Amino acid sequence: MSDTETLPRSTVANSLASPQPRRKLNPTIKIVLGQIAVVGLWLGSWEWMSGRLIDPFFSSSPSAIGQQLVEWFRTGSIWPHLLITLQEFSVGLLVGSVVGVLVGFTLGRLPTTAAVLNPFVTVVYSMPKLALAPLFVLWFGIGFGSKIVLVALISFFLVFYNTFTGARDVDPLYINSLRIMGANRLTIYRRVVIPSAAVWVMTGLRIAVPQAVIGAVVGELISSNQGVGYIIANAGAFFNTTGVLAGVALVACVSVLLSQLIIVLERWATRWKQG
Amino acid sequence: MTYHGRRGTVSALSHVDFTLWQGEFVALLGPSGCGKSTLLNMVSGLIAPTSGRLAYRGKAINGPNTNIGYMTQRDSILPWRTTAQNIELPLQIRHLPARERREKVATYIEMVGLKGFENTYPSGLSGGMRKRVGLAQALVYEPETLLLDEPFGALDAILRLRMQAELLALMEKLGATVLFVTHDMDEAITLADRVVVMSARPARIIDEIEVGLPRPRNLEQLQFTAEYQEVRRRVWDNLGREIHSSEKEMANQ
Ligand SMILES: Nc1ncnc2c1ncn2[C@@H]1O[C@H](COP(=O)(O)OP(=O)(O)OP(=O)(O)O)[C@@H](O)[C@H]1O
Ligand SMILES: [Mg+2]
Repeated sequence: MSDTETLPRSTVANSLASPQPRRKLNPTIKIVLGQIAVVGLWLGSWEWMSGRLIDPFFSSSPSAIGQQLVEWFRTGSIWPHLLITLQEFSVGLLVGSVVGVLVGFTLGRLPTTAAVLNPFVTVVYSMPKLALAPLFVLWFGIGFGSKIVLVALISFFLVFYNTFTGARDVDPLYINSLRIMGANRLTIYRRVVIPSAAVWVMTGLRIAVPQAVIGAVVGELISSNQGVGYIIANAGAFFNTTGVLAGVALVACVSVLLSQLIIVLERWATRWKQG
Repeated sequence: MTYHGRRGTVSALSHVDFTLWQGEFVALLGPSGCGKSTLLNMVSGLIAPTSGRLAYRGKAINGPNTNIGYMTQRDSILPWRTTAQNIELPLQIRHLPARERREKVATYIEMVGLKGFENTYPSGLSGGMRKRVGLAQALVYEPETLLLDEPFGALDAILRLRMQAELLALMEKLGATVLFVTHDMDEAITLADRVVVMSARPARIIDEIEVGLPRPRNLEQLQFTAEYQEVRRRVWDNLGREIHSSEKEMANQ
């Protein structure tokens, strides 16, 4: 109580204490300008060094990579591969996170079962799932199936672990308050446990998205005949540095875009935090 | 009531024996940490006493007591629900039709003075506003018994007086039973039929004072009447004696 009351007061004091700076750049603009400078410096020096200090065979160059990307999209040759990777990503993520949310909520509210399973969960959680990719190929074939299993497994653990933590983290005060209002277990789940854990579920998803993209691409790298990972592996086999780096850049862009989508979703789901 | 924690045990309540009569308004007065909230938690059935017995309407309390409305000391309104949604929650749980829910929510929002904040989440409300949402939430389903744990502690003097008057009027209308925790002696006397004074931990009841001021009460004038001053002096005298004797006890130990 008392700290929520003193907080605004101290904020006021701070803003009074610091003199109003004049002709100062808006901090957001400053940050963006700084970021543009970093990218410019990085790509510029790379471009300059390539061919002068380093053999482009090893380093390629930003312009060559850019040309390769333009080429892929101009001829449209990359689309089928990109679509395959996106499908593996989305089906895998969907299956993994739905199961992760369900298991997370269930175990989160069953403390004894959770305690029994806890060490096993930790062990499996710590395993490098990517290392299992060759086995999945053996079990589920070199096509779609093995990648989806890999992506689903990776997403499952990230989403499950966060949901599980969130379901255990519910403030008992809220649950008690609803019990006195006469709520049954189902209502308490719907009105308290799920909204309270939603923050954690969203965090799990946000972490899972880039990992799932990596899972799909690595799965393809290890063995496949389609997908962006296959393009990268293929270029690598011919020591085509530009092709490898263009593929990696494409994956990074896709991953960032998807992450931004999730962040928008997360903001919406936790809009109550902003008042 | 004894709490067993990792850091040792705390005896919160001992020898607390009293009866809350139907339709009665009882104020609970006692030093901080003596076990007032603990007592309310036991009456609400959220915790069970480690020894002793509690009954509600003659039946032992076991499990959450759904006949009551309980406004806890710490905010228990849900942070992901707006003011209106929080106040509506107990009505939803009781499956009231939507129209009736809307009307009641509007009435109680008006009563606690939160018009214009219907769609604000608790994070956008002040501490005192959140308390008022909590109060409206406890009142809106008009439970037969109300447990209020320092409901007006965070309010300014004028708003507090208004809320006290609203509460009294509503309680008189509903004929509800109220157990009201406060640190403020004047608040206890102005509102209650009976003031129960508890000692420091482990708490026992050291005094019970029948206020005996007639109802309905006019809160704005009450404090200036001779009867009020008379009750107030009695409470002070008793408390003073009690403080003396407990000081002596401490000195003897
Ligand atoms: N869950 C708990 N576990 C262990 N000890 C507790 C717990 N809750 C309360 N206590 C202890 O019991 C005692 C009484 O606490 P309680 O909250 O009932 O006091 P209170 O009379 O409501 O005080 P205040 O007026 O400050 O709200 C305190 O000393 C506290 O340390
Ligand atoms: Mg208390």
